[in-house]
Amino acid sequence: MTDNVVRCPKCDAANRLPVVASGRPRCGTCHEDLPWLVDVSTNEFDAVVRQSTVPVLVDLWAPWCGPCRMIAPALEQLSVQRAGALRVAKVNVENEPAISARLDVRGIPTMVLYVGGDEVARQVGALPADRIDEWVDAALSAPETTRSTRSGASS
Amino acid sequence: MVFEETIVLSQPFDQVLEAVKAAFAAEGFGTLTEIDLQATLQSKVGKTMDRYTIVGACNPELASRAIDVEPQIGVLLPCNVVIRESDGDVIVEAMDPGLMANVTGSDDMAPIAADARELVSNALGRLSAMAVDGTQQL
Repeated sequence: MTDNVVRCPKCDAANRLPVVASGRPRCGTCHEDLPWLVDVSTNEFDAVVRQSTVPVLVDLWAPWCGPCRMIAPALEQLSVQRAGALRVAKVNVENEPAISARLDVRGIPTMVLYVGGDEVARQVGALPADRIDEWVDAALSAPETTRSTRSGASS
Repeated sequence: MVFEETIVLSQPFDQVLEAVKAAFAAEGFGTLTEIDLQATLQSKVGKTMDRYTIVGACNPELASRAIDVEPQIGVLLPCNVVIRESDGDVIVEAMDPGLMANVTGSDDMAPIAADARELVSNALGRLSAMAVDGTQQL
């Protein structure tokens, strides 16, 4: 398992975060909720999606994709604004083709939102930051019965 | 398999269509074809659908290099860019030129596909500015 180093937005302390873990990461220095934005590999994907106690936004992207570069800062911002309430997991489809194949991703960027291990919403194509925010809000506030129940995590 | 990159825009369809052509022109792609699929399918089979235009963008220098390496590559040319309406938005989708290298499996095609990929990505990057703040970087 790999770790990611995240700086605390409040006190700027560097914190090492595991990719796979449950709970809400907090800064070891000031105990503020930390933004949880991690690069995820194929081996880690199921555990990241299933073990998270907060919703997980999976961003499927590639380095050569212009629209993917457009939304990268917005997702980083989202992980800061929703620290403790949302995890952002980035999947590079060039390195992890097995994940994009399993999720049947044909266009990038594709954002998939998981709650409790189940896919609840999917957005294909880059959106401005405010519309990504609205999309997440709408998906999380939708009644469970109206959400898509297709699970992207294998059992 | 991932084969296209996508942007969702909220500007009017015709504005996006012109912006797409301008963004690709700025990267050296001319508009070889422009197919109004909505009008075509309406007249041919009476289909009612949202607006849907396919722009065939061609960079002559890249096309020339690609055909020198693999004459059959024409089946993948020009670079198709789809502009279509969906749920009040306008979606722009461009084929990943990296497919040219994947499909042919040719080592000689790989650098050409990489160059094409970079230019298409740059063109979509120009459109991204339009998505973010309504302006277009040309």
